Amino acid sequence: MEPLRVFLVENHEDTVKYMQLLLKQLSYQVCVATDMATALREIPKSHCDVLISDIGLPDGDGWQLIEKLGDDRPQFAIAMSGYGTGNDQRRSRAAGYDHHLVKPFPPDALLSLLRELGRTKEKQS
Amino acid sequence: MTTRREQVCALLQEIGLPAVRVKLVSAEVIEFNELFSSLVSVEAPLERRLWFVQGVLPYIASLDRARWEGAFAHQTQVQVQVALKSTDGRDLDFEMRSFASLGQEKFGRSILCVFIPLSNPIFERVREAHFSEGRKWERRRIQNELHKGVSQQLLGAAFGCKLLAGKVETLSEGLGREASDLAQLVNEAVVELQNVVTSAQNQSRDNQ
Repeated sequence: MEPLRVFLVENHEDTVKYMQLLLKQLSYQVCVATDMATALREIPKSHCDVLISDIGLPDGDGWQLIEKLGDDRPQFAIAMSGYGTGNDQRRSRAAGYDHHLVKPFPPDALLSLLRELGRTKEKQS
Repeated sequence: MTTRREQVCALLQEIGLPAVRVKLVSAEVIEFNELFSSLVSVEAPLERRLWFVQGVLPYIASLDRARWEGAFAHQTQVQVQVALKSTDGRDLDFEMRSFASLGQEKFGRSILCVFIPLSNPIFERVREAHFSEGRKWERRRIQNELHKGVSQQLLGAAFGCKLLAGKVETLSEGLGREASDLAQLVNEAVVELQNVVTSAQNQSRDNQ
């Protein structure tokens, strides 16, 4: 099974560092941006399968990001946010995210989602 | 900043104090706030202009009556005890403070009487409202700290531990197990904190 290509958008230094290292250790291919402008520039040429984006970004938010990406958005998208009320989750879904993870979450919550998306992609191809 | 005389009773209402302004000599009511009206219209409905004369003066403590009459006649300040009733019929003791104003405008030459509750829930409610506001503010601050600080760092730490556990496992099975236990412990802390954050957010939403 071909490893998923993941684009991670997160501005918290330690979080992005360890997420990236762990995902790489598990054989995912990982690209990273720490703000919306960089993500908008890099995602279209990255050909990633999954976007994992924080909702709170220094120059915008994850909802704007996915909206601005339009057709350039990766096939799957996972939002991460410190806010997890029903409204926040609905807003993420409406924006186009398939999942909304409430921070802090255990790494296995993200990893099991990625495995699920990997299986979905496998079935589709 | 100046406060117009006719706003004084409304202002006193906001801080939980009944107040009434009466004419010199006749003591007819010129102005009052709702807290005051709730104290004098409990039983037999009185004519509004006589609220003070019939609804307050008879209830001034007998020892204070002479002082009140003297102060009222000479338009000087005075503090007397008054026993009134709440809307639900409870006895409420007040210290009534009166101040004479002798201006020329609409409310000139009048006496303002403010009722300070000695032992009743009005002040308690005002104090409770302030505390409640303070608690809300504190809850928002803690929530913000949890979100911006602790939860982000703990998320990074959880991924760091998981990464470390994976690496250590390749070097030593025993150390790998210990590292996994540590990662599990951090995971549990993450879940615990997530519950706290979510519960705080839901509580905050419910209070809005």
